[in-house]
Amino acid sequence: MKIALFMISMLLPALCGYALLWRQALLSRLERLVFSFTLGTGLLSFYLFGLALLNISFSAWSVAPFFVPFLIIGLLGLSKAIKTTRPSLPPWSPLSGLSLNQKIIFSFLAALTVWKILFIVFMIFSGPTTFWDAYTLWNYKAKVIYYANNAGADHTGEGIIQGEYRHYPLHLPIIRAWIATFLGEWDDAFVNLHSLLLFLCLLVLNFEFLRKETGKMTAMILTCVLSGMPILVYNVISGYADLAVGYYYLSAVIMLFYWHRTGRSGFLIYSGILSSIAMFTKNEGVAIVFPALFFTFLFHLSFRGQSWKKTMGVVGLFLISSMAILLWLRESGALSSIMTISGIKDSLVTFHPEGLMPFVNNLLVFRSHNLFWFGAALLVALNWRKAFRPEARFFLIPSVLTLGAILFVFLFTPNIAWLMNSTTINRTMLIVVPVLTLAGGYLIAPEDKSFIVAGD
Amino acid sequence: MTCNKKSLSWVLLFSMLVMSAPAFGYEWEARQGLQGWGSSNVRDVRFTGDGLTFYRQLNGFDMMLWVPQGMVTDASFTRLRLRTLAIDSYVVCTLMSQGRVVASQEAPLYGGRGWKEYVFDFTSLESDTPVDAIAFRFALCDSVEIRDLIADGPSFSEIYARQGFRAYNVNFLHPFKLYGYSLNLWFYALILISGLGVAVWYSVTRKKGAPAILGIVFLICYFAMDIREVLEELSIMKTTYEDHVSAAPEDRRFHWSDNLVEFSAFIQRHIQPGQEEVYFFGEESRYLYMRYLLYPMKLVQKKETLARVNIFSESDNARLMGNTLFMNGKVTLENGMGMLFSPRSFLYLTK
Repeated sequence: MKIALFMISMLLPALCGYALLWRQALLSRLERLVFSFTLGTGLLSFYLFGLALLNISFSAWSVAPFFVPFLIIGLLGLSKAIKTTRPSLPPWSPLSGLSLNQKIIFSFLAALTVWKILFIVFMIFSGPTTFWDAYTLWNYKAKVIYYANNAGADHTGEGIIQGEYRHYPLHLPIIRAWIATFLGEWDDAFVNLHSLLLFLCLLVLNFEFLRKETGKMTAMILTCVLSGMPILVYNVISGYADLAVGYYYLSAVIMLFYWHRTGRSGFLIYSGILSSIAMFTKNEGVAIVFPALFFTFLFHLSFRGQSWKKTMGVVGLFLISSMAILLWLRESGALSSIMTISGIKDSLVTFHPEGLMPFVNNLLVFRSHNLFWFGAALLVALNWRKAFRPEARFFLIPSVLTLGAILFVFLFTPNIAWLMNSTTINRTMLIVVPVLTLAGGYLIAPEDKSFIVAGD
Repeated sequence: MTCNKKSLSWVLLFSMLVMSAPAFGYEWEARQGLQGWGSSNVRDVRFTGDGLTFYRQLNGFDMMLWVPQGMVTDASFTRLRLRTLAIDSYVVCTLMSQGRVVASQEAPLYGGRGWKEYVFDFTSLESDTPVDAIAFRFALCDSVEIRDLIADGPSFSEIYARQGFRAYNVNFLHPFKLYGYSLNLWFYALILISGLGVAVWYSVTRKKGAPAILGIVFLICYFAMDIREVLEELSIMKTTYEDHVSAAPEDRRFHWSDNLVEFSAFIQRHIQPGQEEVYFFGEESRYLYMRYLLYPMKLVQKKETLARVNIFSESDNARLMGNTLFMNGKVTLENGMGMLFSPRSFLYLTK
């Protein structure tokens, strides 16, 4: 029964996302599925936060209006679909077209990936929430919101977002409270299952995008590389926000890529919305993800040769689509908090060379990231010419910008403390890992790969 | 046929590496008995099916066990497998030379029915002093069942050391080691050596595909690490099952969170959450965890004053005898109602 209620709680916002995306022929079925879930839950969290700002509690009546516009959009789309037919991507099956050796390797890698999922499921269902930030922050806030029936609740009783950890964004707590509301009780396992869903979306999106762009084997190898990163697995079990930010960032970059390829403004709007969801998930979204995404967008926009007026229109469209976050930034004082934490406010920016060796140790000697960073460096060194190809460059630019921002935060600001004690640094690197993995796909793919997508 | 020979060579090499697993240093298993081992503050020692259980004297001092001088030559990498139901306890491993302390390391003990391996890694210790004995001190631990001990210098067997499910895993994971060095570094070396080989091969043959060979070597290393990680995950699942899922209610433990989950369930059976504040006496970390588990109960951390409902969690200075509450050794209240969960964790309701 609980699993059915959990599925309904996730399916309802996903259907809203699907109403927006189901006519996007460029997206494969799996892509549409994960993007629908992502957009739907993200928009829902903003809506529920908006209710809190108006001091309205969760109820069937207060939540129902959220679904109405999507119902209308879906019905309008349906009536159009009856009249016209649109091309869709050709179907595929996992092992077709592979040699025997490839089939064996593909199956082995798929088995490894499935094992990781099973391990996470076992840990989520066999134990309570355990890791520090989860029970002092993410799940705790969710529990408070659930019992108060209001996204603005705070256990200190000081009203909306005024209490402990007031500057920590609310996307995850709101969605987890939403799940508990559907279950009718707080259940750690089902609440944490949301984290597994995000992990599955990350793997599916990574695989599906790379499959379309670079082929099945490359996609499977890199999906397995991603799932084989130990720290990522523990972050999923614990329901931490870093995995979620990394995933939303990946989604936003892929949407931006589709805009870059097709010029369709719909993809740009989705990219903007997804970036705002990333910002509403963790403050790294504001400080690291959005600037990197925005610069990538501006970089590609500058090569489009459009008129000044049209360029400004496109920039405006992107900014407007990511504006939902202003609701949060205005109320929470998160920007001021970011400035203080970063040390910029107090002019504490200075280079900390003592952080270099711990940084290298964390990335290369500890097993937190497996051999990922060595592999990334090796891949770029061996295939540096391919790095200049448009597709690879598209994903390398945000990766490098994000890495640069992370290095700045941890090597030039008082946040070096979180590098020296090997804590936040490893989790923050998870933000850049998914996007970098996609860039890796283009570096592995053969030179003659055309990257033309059917239905484009 | 050539391919089969090659495969056979790889299988042989792999088998040799795996078979070289047993350590060459000091190995002890409980079934061998305590040949020459020393102990202090041990009241009783009993053989169990798999190990030896040591019981602490009632004088309150910590139990000590030591492998006497001369039996150990190198203890740079010491692995001790044990189990206990104690809470908040820890073990200190000390390396000795001629009766003097060379180095020591402390590890928190995790309660539960499953065997757990504690690894003391002194491989980075910069000392020329030859170690000749190891001592273990078990703090805040009434009994401990020990299964085996391996004390060795840097060796291949380090790779089998269990890392377990730890509170810091969400932030970082210690590397698997081989001969004192991170397994990552060994793989980097292997990849770089392969790279040199491939470069030489390419310069001679000028055949395409050199980077691909290096890529394949990298992926083999990556997935080899992943398979070692899978073994670790299996071990974590086994411990979780033994300690938490299948354990009797009074013995249930969830890794480092001790019995807090069970204690919280005990409290929820007796107290309904309401508007009144519930006072909590215990460590900050326990308070934060129970604040989450018990929400919407309004927990407030206190040290002295009492509310109507009071929770004492693994408290050092509070004891309950019947309905009498002792704090700092003195009778604090007699007319309340006490509900005992364990000797150091209980509920106390005042009138």
